[in-house]
Amino acid sequence: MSTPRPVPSVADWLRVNLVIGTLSFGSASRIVLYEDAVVRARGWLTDEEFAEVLTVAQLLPGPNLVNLSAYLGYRLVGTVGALLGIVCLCLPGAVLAVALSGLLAVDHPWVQGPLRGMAVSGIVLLLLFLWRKVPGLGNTADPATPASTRVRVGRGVLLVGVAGAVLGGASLFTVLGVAIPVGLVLEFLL
Amino acid sequence: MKLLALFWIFFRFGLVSFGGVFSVLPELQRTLVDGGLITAEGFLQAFVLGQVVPGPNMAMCTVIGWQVAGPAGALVGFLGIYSGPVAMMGVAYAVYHRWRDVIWVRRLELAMRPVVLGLLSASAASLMWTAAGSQHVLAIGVAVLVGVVAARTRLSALSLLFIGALAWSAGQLLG
Repeated sequence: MSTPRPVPSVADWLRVNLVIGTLSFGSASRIVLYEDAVVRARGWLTDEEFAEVLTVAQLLPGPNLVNLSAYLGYRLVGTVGALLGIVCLCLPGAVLAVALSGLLAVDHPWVQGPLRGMAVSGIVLLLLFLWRKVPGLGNTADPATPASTRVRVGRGVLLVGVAGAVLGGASLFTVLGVAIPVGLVLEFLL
Repeated sequence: MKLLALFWIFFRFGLVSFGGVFSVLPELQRTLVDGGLITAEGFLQAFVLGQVVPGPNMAMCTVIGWQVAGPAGALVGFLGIYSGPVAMMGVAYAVYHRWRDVIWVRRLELAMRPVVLGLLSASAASLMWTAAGSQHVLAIGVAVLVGVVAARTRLSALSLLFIGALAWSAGQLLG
């Protein structure tokens, strides 16, 4: 009995990806832009469906934005459309980055100084993002129930342990091999 | 042969880039810089460019490919870093459609959260070390300034990057 939902053509799909891939300057809100485009502006998905896909996108490796686009592309327009959508989303930024790389490579204090300033700003943005995400460690799959103290402390220790191990020079692959099972134990057995 | 090795590096890192490329930066830097493929400055440039351009910040891998081997390297960087995640999402789509249970996926995501945040913390610290170079005081000053501006205003990420650039230049002028 639900009203028929609009289905994107491949051209629609590519246009949405190209617009976000070209115009999303300033990194913070790309997921929101995407949500606006596919849920609110065009009604290709419901809010619940989008939230569900976002969870899958966050779980698997890769940038959330790309994972989201890939999953939705496979679902809405098939494999070829999905892959072309990824190219539309990722290629403009990649080409622009390469085009600009010559400017930053100039070995002069008045280029390398500001560059370092930008890198430091980027790191601060990363730290602010982390700061906003840390409270989420107190959640469980049920939004109404906070995690037990034991689980929270465990997650905090795991976070610090992972960071310490990587900074201490442990290989990423070893760290993941140990840390992922610990994370799973904290979530499913405690 | 170099291109194949480069592809393998990016493909491998793509497969473990939980939360995006920023969680694997320390190991990626170690592999590329200690392996003699690019310089620490080149790595820093790629990181900055990845943040400046629209779209996913994995654009930094295309830049690294370019630095290592020109246009062919850029193509390898682009394909290498995205192919793993995009293929995995295809598998996830095929599988998830059959056994779809949101709670279960949400719990897995919760289990991964501390790992991802730990990796990102390590990236921030290790990159700060690279960015500061020998100018620790200036780096900390710029970081505090940008942090305060970001907390007090609603400026876009891009504006904050430019404020950081100006602040560092001003610091250089003052000596």
